[in-house]
Amino acid sequence: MRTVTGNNNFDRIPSATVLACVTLFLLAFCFAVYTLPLLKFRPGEFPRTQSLSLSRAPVDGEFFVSHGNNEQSHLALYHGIGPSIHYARQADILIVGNSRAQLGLSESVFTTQAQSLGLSVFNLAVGHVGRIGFALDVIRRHDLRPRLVIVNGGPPVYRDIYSPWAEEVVGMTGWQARKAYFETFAGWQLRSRLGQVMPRLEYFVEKHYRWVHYRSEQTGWYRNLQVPSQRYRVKDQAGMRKHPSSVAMARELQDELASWGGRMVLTIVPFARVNTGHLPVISEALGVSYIVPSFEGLETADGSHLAPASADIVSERIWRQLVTLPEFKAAFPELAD
Amino acid sequence: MSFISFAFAVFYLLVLAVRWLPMPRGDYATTVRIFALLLLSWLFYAWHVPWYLLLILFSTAVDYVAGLIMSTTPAENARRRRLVLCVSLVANIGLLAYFKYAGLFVDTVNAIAGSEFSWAAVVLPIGISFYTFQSMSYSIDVYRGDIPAERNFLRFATYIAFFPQLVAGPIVRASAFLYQFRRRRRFHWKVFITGAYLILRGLFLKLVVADNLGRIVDQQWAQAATDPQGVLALSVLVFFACQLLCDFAGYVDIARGVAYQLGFRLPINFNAPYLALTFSEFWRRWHITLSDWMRDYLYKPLGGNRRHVVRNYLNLVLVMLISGLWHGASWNFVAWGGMLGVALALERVLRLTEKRLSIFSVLLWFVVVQLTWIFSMAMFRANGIEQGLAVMGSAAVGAWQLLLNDFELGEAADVLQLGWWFTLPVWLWHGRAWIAEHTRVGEAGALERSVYAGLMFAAVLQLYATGKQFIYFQF
Repeated sequence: MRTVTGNNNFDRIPSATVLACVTLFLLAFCFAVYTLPLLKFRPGEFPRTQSLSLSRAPVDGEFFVSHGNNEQSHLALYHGIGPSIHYARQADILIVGNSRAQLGLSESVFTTQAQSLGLSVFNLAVGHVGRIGFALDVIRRHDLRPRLVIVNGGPPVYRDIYSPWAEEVVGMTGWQARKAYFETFAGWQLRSRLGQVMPRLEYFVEKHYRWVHYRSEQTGWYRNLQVPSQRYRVKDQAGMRKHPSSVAMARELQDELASWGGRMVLTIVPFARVNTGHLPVISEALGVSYIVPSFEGLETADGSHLAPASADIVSERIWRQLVTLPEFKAAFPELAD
Repeated sequence: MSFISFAFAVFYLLVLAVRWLPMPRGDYATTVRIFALLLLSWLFYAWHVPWYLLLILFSTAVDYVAGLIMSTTPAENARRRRLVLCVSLVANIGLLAYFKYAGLFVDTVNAIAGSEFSWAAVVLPIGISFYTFQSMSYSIDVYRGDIPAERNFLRFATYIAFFPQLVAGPIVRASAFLYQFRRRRRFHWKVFITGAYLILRGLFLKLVVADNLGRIVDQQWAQAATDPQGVLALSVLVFFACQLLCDFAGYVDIARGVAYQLGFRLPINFNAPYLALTFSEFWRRWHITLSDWMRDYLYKPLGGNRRHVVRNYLNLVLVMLISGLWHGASWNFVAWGGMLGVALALERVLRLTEKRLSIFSVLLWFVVVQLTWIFSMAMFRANGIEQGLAVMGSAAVGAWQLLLNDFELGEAADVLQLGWWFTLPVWLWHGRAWIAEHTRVGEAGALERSVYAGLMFAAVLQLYATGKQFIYFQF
């Protein structure tokens, strides 16, 4: 294998064929770019163009992307990638749940209120059908010692199985997780920029997914860069009717917290067809308090997650009730005065 | 490391830099380049599970030493040569047996004997089926005296670990690769652009065709087994046949393109297989390097077609059963291989070769061949024989409904329509291949390829699907 450093054909003048090839390539490319969005390979409102935010990551801190399939939260939290776990370890209050706890509990309300009492709060909730077992694993794996945990969510949050994505992440080695984290990061960097000049044509997703959010390493909260424009009123479907629920995982979390004197309370951020019937059942079984805030005047952005303004309102309501609960007072006895 | 990853993009830039950065002439520079290529190939492999690098080192070392011993052993000492070959084969097959087939073996014993042996599942080392076969072919060729043993360990190790074809083929023979190290190389734009074209074609086949079809197949598969409207199952099987082809052919195109850009030539692995008129022709067009491997190292040593006809048919079935098992450690793959082996033997029994048939018979047999392949996809994709049979049964109903023009697609209609659109590149590819084979038009020239490249590049940027691993990585 000999290599020739000079005497190559780098500087050969392009022939007519080469010019013709380049021209044809560009013409075909432009033709396809123009034509592909016009073709309807599927009936209905297809193709949809994937809209990605023009915004870059927020600049007031450290963030990673948590948008749709680019969700990095599980990798960062379970495998301790980046400084998130460092901040979670320092937090007095942890929030556990799914994406509704992220988008329905307001970062500004919770952090401001907590800071006014000299406390810190970290949102450990994860999207992609977040469940209590995953949070418990993170708490154990990284030896988190919160003094109070707020569990938010409907019955699925309490089920004693992992979500598919969480199961995959838990099964990864640290090496695999870091590779996946890098791929997600790089993929997002490329796709979000490419999407600005040449939107991807989407033929499979029935609805537009217009949320685009990054996750703060310091507070664990999603920061929305793009919010769906639809608005749906919140309706309580079943009121306080008793609802059979799994309590095993919640009890395990409660026992874990009790080992260092931590407490737990339950709540639910509403959504379009919210059912609160599981809360009294779990509350009674575990002997912990729960908060069901008033749903009046609340709206979701997509049927499932509260719109930002409603998140602020419901967060104020939840916080007001939270500080009056015996668990809160027991967790932070120094605030009794 | 997957070709469809950003880690690979970074890795490949490094490889190109190492390969083409100016260096002084001479053997020293050549050795440095090969050494760098070897280290990078090992890095490529270790990216998956780092300690599995030991496996490829083991396989390489065993076959290198075996080759040297066999080459220095006089031909009269056949017993020693045979013994060394056996050690090489046992080592390679042993790796496969432990990492790939032990779980199947334990499960089968438990199912038959009612025992409860346990087996801790291990992560399958990617590409193990490919590089062990490649390694074995070298030992067998040296044993037969077809090629001399490679004395330069660096070259031999690079041949085994050459990253473009390491994890999913094509399976390259030593005789077709080792001599390339000795070739004088210059950088040629034409070669480089040809490589880029192959890489782009591979990305298009994988990201646009295979991955989008894969989404439909994944969505509809469970329903395909139970839906009374069998047209859905039949469509899903056609989609999967196209997905499998484009997934694998896409990988091989990228591998060949990358090898080209590094100054190496890899054999083609797919030649428009859905144009095959007979089963035997099909295997000359589909996964060509594996078919050749099976023919030269299994079928012929078993006696090939020189033995009694019955033995010949049995050999065909046996080879296809082993080919099925090679694809996956599961009985549905064995059933898949067996089904196609019986078809191949039947073709031989009926003496149906493309040259002896009338046009009507050719077309009729063509339909039989392609339908058999499509139906066999049910076994290939299924989780177990039972599910495979269910999908096949449903597809058979679908074929009948299609003949009678009596079917309704219901809610799945628009997704199926989408699927058929995504198969369009496969039909165009095969149509163009047919024209090249049967008319004077010939292969696509530079101008025609430029048009394809422009169209494919735009499609890759706008229609890509994400997140699916290459199917053949699991083999």
